Amino acid sequence: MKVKLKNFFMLVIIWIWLGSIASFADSGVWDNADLFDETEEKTLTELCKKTADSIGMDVLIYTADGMTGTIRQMAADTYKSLNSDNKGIMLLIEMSERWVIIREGGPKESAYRYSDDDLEEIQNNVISAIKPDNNFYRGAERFFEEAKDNIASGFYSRSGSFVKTSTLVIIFIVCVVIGGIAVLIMYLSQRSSKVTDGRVYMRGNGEPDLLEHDDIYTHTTRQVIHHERSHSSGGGGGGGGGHSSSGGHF
Amino acid sequence: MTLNYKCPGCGGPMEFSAEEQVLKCTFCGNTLPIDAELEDQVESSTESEKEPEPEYDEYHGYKCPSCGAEIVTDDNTTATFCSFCGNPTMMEDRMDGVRRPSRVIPFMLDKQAARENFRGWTRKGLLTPGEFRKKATIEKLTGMYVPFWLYDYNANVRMTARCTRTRREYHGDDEIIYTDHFLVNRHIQADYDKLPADASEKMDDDLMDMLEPFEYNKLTSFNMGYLSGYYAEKYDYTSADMKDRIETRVKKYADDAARSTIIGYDSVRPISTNYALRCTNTEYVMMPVWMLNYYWKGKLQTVAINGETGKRAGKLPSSPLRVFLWWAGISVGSFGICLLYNLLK
Ligand SMILES: [Zn+2]
Ligand SMILES: [Zn+2]
Repeated sequence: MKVKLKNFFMLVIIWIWLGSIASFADSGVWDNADLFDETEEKTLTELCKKTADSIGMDVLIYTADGMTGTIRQMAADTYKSLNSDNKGIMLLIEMSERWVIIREGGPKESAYRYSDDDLEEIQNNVISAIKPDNNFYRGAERFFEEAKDNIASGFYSRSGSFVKTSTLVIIFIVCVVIGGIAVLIMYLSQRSSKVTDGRVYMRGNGEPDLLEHDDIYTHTTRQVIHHERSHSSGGGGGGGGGHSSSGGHF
Repeated sequence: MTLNYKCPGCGGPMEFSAEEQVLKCTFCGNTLPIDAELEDQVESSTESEKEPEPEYDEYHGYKCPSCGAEIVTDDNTTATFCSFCGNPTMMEDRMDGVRRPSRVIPFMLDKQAARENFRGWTRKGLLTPGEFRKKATIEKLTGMYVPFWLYDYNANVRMTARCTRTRREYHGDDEIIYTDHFLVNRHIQADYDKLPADASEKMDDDLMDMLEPFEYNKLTSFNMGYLSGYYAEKYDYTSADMKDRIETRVKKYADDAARSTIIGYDSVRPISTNYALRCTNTEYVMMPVWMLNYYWKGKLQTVAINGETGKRAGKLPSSPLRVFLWWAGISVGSFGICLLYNLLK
């Protein structure tokens, strides 16, 4: 028992250590559209770092005045240029067409900590915070809260990919089922079986004498199944790894 | 009424040796072949179909021919041990006339081999409670000749079935499935030889069925000598009593046989089957079985080992603690491996 406990603590230590590998140096505010005054920007930068510490990934706020391509493409390119090597979540506010979009980005696509629905929800809540009186600061604050509330719990593996707690729960259930099947096999192997094959007792070569046989064709039925050819969708958009909310107007 | 074999050399009790297939003196090792001479005093009249009336007083029972002590048996015992002096004793009058088996498969596994077999079984059973591996448990294994009826059956089956065969064609996006329907008739005949069924009420039918198959090439003329040193029972059920049980089985076998002749179809659905079953011969025999009775959760359970082939029958109990530990161990262990894999990948 002692040994097991020790191993457990080792595991926890490895877990914490691996979780702390990721660096959050690239969190911050890029206020190109001048939506915040100097003190606001300073506070927000601090909040970005604080939030980054609590969620374990970079937190970025980027404002722009002028579109390049679609809003999704713009979000992907922006994230890549700012922080392509690290995992993070970015709030992008574009003033010319009044867009708000949330992007989770990073090097590994498989390691999302927000679902598409989560990003959509964060985006909509940020928009509703900004909308009444164009209060971008309140929108940013809301972004931090939402980023903290919606993030999936879990941990980073050595390679930096994220393993969700919910995934672990599923893996654990699968393991319990595997254990159950293994025990069932053990249980069944403790009992013996009956001879169910009558050929053991049949005289001759185990084949019955066929005295009469006929196979009469009666009729044929016909069934048509129509298969719709599925058209595969084209490859996804460029940029680094990541996914975005759909983008919405405020 | 009672009989035991005494060593012509030293007068000690002689038991059947599975290893050497002879009677062997337990004291000096002297051996006697098992042949007609050995039991010429026992008349074999299998002709008589009438049950002999018991001439003895059931209540007062039998006396040990060695020490004169009363032998405590129940009504069906035909071979046992004197509880006083331990000598093997046969109740020969209980094997008279129709009650005399025509043939016997002698024990091929001696006590030592049976114990090894059982030990191997418990070792394989990972959920088996530890107490089952103890010597005291293994020593409870007893060798017993169990009465069996062997049936020869002729089965005639007429089967009619609706069968289908499908083929597919593809035209553009369309898949066309053609199903050809057939009405199939089969008339088959099969002979089944020596289908065994235990004739003792005490024995669990399923357990005895699991001992099959016996290898009939070892079936030999019955001789009381084979029973010496083992327990034996006589039948409670006549061959007619078990007709239903055996015919259910023949029907299933014959049904399988008829089905096996319908080939080349994608689906087979029998719509009518007629069976004509004819019992062509029955034979009363003794089969060697090693048995272990044990109490588990307040219930008497039995496991058995075929005394000829070593095939195991029945199930060993599962300890809930072991079930839990294995389950938990495998679950946590495999989860740990997944966790480490995820951490390190
Ligand atoms: Zn002797
Ligand atoms: Zn005695």
